Amino acid sequence: MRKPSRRTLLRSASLGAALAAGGGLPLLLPGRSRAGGEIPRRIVFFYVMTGSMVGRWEPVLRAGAAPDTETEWDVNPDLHGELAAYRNDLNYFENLDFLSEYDDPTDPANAHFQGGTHAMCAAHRSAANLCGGITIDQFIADHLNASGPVTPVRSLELRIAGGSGEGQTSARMAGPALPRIDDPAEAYDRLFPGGAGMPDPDAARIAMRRRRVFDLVAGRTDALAGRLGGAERSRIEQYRDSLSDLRARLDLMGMVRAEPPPRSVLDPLGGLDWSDPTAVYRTVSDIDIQLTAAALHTDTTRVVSLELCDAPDEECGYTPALAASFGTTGTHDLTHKVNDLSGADPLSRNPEAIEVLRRQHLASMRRVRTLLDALAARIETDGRRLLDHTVVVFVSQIADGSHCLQGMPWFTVGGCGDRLRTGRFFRAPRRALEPTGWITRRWTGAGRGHGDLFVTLAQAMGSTATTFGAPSAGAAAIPGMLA
Amino acid sequence: MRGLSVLLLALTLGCEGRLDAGPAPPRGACLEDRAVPAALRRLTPTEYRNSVADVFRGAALPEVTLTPDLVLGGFDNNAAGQPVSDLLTEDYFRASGAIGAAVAADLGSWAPCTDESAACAERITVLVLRRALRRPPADEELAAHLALVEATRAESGLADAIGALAEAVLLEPQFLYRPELGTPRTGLPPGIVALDDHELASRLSYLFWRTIPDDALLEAAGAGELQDDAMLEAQARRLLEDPRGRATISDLHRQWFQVDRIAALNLDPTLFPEASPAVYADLRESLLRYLDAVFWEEGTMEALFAGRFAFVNDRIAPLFGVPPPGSDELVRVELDPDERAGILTQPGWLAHRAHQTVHSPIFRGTFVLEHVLCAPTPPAPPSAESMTTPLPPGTVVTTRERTVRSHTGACAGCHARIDGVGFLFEHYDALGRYRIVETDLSLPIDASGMIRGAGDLDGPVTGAVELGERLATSPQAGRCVAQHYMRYALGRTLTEEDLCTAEALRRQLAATGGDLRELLVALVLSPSFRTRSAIVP
Repeated sequence: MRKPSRRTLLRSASLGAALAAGGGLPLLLPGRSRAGGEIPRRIVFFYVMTGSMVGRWEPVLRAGAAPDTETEWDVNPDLHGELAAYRNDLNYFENLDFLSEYDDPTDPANAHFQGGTHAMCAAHRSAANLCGGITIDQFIADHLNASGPVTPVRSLELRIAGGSGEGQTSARMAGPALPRIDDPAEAYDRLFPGGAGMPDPDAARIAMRRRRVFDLVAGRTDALAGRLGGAERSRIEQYRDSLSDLRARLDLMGMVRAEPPPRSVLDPLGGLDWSDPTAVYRTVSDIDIQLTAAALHTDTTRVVSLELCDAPDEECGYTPALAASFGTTGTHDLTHKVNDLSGADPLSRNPEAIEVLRRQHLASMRRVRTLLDALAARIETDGRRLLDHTVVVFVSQIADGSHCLQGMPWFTVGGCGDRLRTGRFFRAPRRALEPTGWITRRWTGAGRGHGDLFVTLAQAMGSTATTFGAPSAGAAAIPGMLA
Repeated sequence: MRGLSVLLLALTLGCEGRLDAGPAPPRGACLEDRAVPAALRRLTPTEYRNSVADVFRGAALPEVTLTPDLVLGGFDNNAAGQPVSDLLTEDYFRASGAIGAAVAADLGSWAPCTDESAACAERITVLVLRRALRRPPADEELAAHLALVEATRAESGLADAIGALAEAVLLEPQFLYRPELGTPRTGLPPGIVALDDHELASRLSYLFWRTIPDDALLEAAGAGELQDDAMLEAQARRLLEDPRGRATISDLHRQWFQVDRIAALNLDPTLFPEASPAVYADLRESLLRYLDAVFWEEGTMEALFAGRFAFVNDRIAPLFGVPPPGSDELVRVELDPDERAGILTQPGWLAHRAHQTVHSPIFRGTFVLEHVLCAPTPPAPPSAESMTTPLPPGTVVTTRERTVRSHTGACAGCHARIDGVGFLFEHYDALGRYRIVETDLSLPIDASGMIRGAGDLDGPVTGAVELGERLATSPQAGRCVAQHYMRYALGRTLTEEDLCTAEALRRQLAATGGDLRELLVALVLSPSFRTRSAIVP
């Protein structure tokens, strides 16, 4: 069986679609660039499952600083030392809570779905394991493409080594998550199907045929939609829209702001042992991060969700001997025991066990650092770093191993084209909250809803949205964060 | 969704006694109070590949990779788990281009003619449309496609024109989805319509073969034969007995019992030196062979839950407690009836419900409650894992005792149900080996348990062998078997409107001595399979 050449097909299709749009052959030549004009703003959501460790990530106030200072702080060297070089690009948030989860009437499937169904959408669940609305990355992608596709790929959803498990990073609406790409080679082919190759000399014929095919399919799709009703009709209309979107995006293929990376960026996959979780974690994360930076730099997409799995045992120094001495069944089990809030579990006080978890979080921070380095190394047409035109949002579905959804260890890096002020620690005192029902056993007060951060990010990306998600999630941009 | 589970549970709790072999409700009796929600199903990746292969039967086709669908309700063919995504649309686009190029280059292998005439082009177009649409094309449909073919043929010849036709057809929702418009029929309650013959033919072929109807089925549909009970039943039996049916039935059971989870096993090698990827692969294949034998050789619910046989080779025979058969290939052997009974005592199933270092009564109990008894427990509370009670350092206890001590306070209620079932498997370690003492501790095994909230099965039970024997004749288990078959066959989550059909099928199962093949045939003849709610524009 032959594997289809996605590269060739998409390249041919792009040529065809471009011709069909009336652009003519000059449109298709390599080197056509969208480098002129306003530099686009980009956003990356760096998503992890297990959060962080309370007291080890928060900014450290400088000696003599006012207790409520926003600017007199240093990066916490315990877990965030890797980020020190980006201190002035960072923003931290005090008491960032999943307020939308407080009053969610639908019980979650488990403690990870409890946070995972709210982390990116801040809306009440549609089912025990499903988001109740659009996620922030897709909301921003919708906004950017509201008047038609602006990039060849609407948004990119990557998952490294199985991703974060239970939860949803991206959803267009209430319900199932969007699929995520696990294979970096597939990601490359989707982002850069033309690579550095020359246009197909048979482009004109292919273009004409492609136009006829799309026209026929569009008519057939409309015809079927017209015979259905309700949810069935809606599904066909969604498919029609997706096809239409694809057709328009094909027009943009090959029109890049920067040179795409060579396919050799995938070479490390050649000898990769896919049964070795440590090798997969390291290799795939490195490649995915480079592809993310390249996708943003070339303006192939402006919205990326990068979902990282927990670091494998070897990365954390979690040896079988340690597992035996701890009596734990894996790092997941260990996480729960180290984070035993009652302090009753002896592992919650065991320095070796705590160090294993610390190394797990350090591994995530090293990947964040790699991404930031990649964004900082790429220079935009104004001479500034790509990072200056981007905002990276560190997202987790729980705050720590106790599954707490208060005091989320989220942070942002980058100024998003000067739309965000940076180097800030945005403070939010915890206010009293009247508890009700089963919530009483967990919630003792409310901080700042993470919907506020989403509103801020949406506005930074050009949206005029003033709310996001459930009313309880938050209803205003974070004061002082927008420039 | 949880509300439905609770409803199903509530409606089933009242069923007591042995498997009821009473008469099934007459056909159509379940129509009175039902209006089954619509479920527009999209071809699964497997259905897509099979269908393409049959539309262009004989052509050398490229490998196609499609984004997998979500697993909902235990199966990957649930319409609710098939959202539209840009990624999948790109997959379809890429695949249609590759397939179009392949069939254009290989016309002689599959097309009925290859001359450059308009007549030949039309003949191929009609053939492709009839197969891809699973019905004869309407006049306007044929005309639209012929327009594409003729315009392309005029420019670049027949092969390129047929390639374009393939690209278009494979992107059309009429191919990618399985639209069922239904048709009014005398005798049906208001708001309910019957599937037409071609829609029924598609349901049949995708249920049993996961592909388009063959010529015989299309001809039967064209002749209007499938509205007749006897003819529909005959077609169902023909498809079921065809070799193509075996892969589909295997897929149904593979998903139901989550067989693929075995491939992800990663037991601690210091504690389980016998474990290896090769052993996991053997265990997976052994479990699939067992399920195949249950359906095709034994054919009964009794074999499913109380069969005393297995498929082993030299590598995994020790896990089953039988001598190596002297073969690398899996061969059927009989098992000790005092140690094993049915699917739930097969090491493959037992092993994939384990932690890295130890078996899990919780995983095992949860699976049985949800997937064998259809009586799931509510989701764990958000803080469940951090609410467990740790043991004092140095405590040496059995897994059972450790589990019991962990489940106090707020955890005790649900875990009384979960652990009460999970403890029945205490005679099996994380690799599914039978044991009479807890490994390394020399502490005796206690496999007594208690089933709660599962109708006729409620009460004390000791060991998985007794559980298997009771499941084999249990109305509760029979109803759950029927519900799993329905979910797979209908491609949707069941609702309360399906309960009447599920109960009718359960009775049918009982009346045939637990015959699983007859259950599938009865399902085809049920109202849930043959009707749908009318479309409201």
